[in-house]
Amino acid sequence: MPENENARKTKKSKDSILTTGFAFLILFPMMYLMLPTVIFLFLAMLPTIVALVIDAGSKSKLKYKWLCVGGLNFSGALPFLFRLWFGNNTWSGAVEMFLNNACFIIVYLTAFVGFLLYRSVPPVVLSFLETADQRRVIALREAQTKLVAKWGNVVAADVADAKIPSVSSPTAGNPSSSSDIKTQ
Amino acid sequence: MTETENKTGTDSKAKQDSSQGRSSSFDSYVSKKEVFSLVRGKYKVFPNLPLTLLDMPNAKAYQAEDIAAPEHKIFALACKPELPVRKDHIKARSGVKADGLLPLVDAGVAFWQPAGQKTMILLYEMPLGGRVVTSKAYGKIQPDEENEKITKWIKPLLLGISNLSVRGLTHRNICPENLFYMDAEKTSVVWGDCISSPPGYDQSVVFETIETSMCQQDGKGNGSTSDDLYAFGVTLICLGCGYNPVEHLSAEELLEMKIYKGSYATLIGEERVPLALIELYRGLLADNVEQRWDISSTTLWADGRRLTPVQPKIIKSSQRPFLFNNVEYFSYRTLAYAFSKNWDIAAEVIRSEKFLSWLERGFDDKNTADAIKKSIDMALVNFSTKEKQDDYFIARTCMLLDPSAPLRMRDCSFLPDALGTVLAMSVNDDKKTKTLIGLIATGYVESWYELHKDIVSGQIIKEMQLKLQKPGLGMGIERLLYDLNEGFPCQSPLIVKDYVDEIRDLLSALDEFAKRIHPDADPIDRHIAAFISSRFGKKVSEELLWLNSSKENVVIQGVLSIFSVLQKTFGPERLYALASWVGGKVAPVINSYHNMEKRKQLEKNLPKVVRKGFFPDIYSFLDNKQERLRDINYFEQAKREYAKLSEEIEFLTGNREQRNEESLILGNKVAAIISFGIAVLTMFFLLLMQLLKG
Repeated sequence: MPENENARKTKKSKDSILTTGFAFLILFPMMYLMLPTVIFLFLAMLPTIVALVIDAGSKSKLKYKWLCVGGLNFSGALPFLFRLWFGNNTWSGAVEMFLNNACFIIVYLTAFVGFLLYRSVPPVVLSFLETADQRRVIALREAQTKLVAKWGNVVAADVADAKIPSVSSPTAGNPSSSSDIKTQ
Repeated sequence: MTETENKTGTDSKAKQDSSQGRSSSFDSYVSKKEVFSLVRGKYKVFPNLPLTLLDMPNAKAYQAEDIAAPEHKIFALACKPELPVRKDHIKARSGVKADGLLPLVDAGVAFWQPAGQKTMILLYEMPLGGRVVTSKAYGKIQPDEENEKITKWIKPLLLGISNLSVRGLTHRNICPENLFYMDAEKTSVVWGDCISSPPGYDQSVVFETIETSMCQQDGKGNGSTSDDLYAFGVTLICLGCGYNPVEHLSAEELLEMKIYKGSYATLIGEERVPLALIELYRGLLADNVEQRWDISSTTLWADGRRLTPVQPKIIKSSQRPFLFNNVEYFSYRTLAYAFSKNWDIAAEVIRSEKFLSWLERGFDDKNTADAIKKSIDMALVNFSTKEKQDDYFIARTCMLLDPSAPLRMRDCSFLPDALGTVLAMSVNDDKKTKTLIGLIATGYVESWYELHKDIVSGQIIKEMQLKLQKPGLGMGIERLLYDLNEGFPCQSPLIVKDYVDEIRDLLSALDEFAKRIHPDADPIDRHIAAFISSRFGKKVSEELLWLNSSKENVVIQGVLSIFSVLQKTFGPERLYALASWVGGKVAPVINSYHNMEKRKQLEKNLPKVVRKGFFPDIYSFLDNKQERLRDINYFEQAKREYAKLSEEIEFLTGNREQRNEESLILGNKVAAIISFGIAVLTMFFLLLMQLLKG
């Protein structure tokens, strides 16, 4: 068995190397052909790369920081990317556009907005869900009260440590279990 | 003239007085007739008009009238309510005329003012010639002439016994005091009542065989026709002599003499008996049942055929006496009788080697000696206390020494045949009842039957033991009481005064009870349950089991169901008071429904249904099968639903940290989706603008 496992692991690592090699073989010529775009995007998406690095290094399960920052960072960079593609699409043109204009301010500002989104949306969702839960619990308890009113406290007999809602019923006694009732 | 006038005046005054007297006594008679008890809706019985000459020892006689046929001359015997009457006779003889027997016209239960409660009233045809014997010194009654004696006395009376015998009945109250002339001319003689008291209850020891003489008053049992023929023989001797020849002897002395000398010798003694009758007397008074004449032998004798005279069997006796209580005994029966009368000192004697060696050497009877030794060993194994051990082997020893004698245990002495009667007479005496339970449960009665090799009766006793072991309602000693006494009325304190001897009268009696007082008691107690179980058990066997449930609602359902079946079967149509009584106890049945709305609805409509006084309606109203099943099913569904809701509440309120974590993940996802959404929208707008420019 261990021999089989080792063989499988060796096969997996071989496959992975092959896939990476193949990807580089395609991407590298493409990167060379689209060098201005790559340079621009590298500079523009620096906040996202930083967020990705931080997420990767974090022990938390919540690794959505780079996605929030990245989404808005990319949308800030897109208008300038379009201008690059339809204007001076050279690597110097790309650097110049990024540095000379207010481009980098806008792009990094949108990344910051993305960061703000990351910080503010989860607490809002949390409080919204809490409120919804409370409402749901009230509705469920009302349903239980109705059941007790209709069937008596015994309806909760099977629920361990059940807090039986108080019902004002003149005949709410303790009926016997179903097995004690005789029918002919 | 004056004298004449005076005389006339005196005469007329006397006539006036006498007519006034007659009219006042007539008025008094009429007024006495105004008070009466109605029996079976057909007969009037007048408690203010007693007929003392026709009284029985345990039933007073009264004038009675057949409403449909006032010319039909009848009289009534009002039985004592505490004595069990002989229902088998009532069933077999009501309205049937049988020669040699006082015709039983009818019998029924009615309220009897002198007793202050209901009781059994027996209606007999009036014996116009009255009682044959009216005092102890009655003088010679039978004629000297043999033929007349046979045709007018022996044959008709024998026919009476024979008529009972063919119906599987015995009289057991055969004595001169119970003979009546049916006609005014005193030519037809019949046996009187034997129904008003248990068999042999009113019978003097002189008319009883040795075996039944040893029994307590109520322990003689139905016996057999042979017992009647024995009493017939004694009666003929008394009538022939004109008195009881052994009147001067006490019961104990008479029994001892019968045992030692034999019945014939004891009763005839020094009396002069017609030669022709010696054979008959010897045949009828034979102490050995196998030797005693039966009906056919006696009939043959009466028809003139002379049989071989009975030679009494010589009782096996020892050459050497056995000394017990300073008396020398030579035979088993006498010694067994002595043991039973000296119970406390018998145990040591029975244990002694001297006694056992007397059995072995005196009678060469090693089997009996071994059986007694075995009984002593069994007693040591079966019983823990010395008293009980002693009781057991003394009783067994008495049985072994005299197997045909009654079952004896200290003060008790009865034939197992009479177990029912003994039980009925002991019903209000806890001590006696406990003794009887012990006798049945610990196998004494069974042993008696074993010694008689009566397997069927032994099996019946085993069934009784099983019933005794069950403590619930409808079982126990009460069940045996009603199983063994067909006509014994229900002894429940609720209805004991209503003399309910038939199951059909039970509900009416309970209804009357509920009318009299506002009852708080349960409508079915141990006696009523046992009575129903014994008389109607097969049809309500399941419901009777419900009565023993620990759940109140099941018990009430059982009561309702039983009453419902009884009312449907026997009526009456309306039982308002009883329905109201039981209706006040149905709350547990209503509460056994789970659905509160259903409960409210039942509570609201219950009074209407109860007011109908019809139990089948009440039962079906409270215990509708479909409603029950629906209630149970929906309740189970509701329970599941409640549990599901509880689970969800627990999930929502229980582990908040996990819930927050999940909410945060969701928040992050939402933020990421918004961010990427903006990116996609931006790209879309930019592409659109480029296209529009282009």
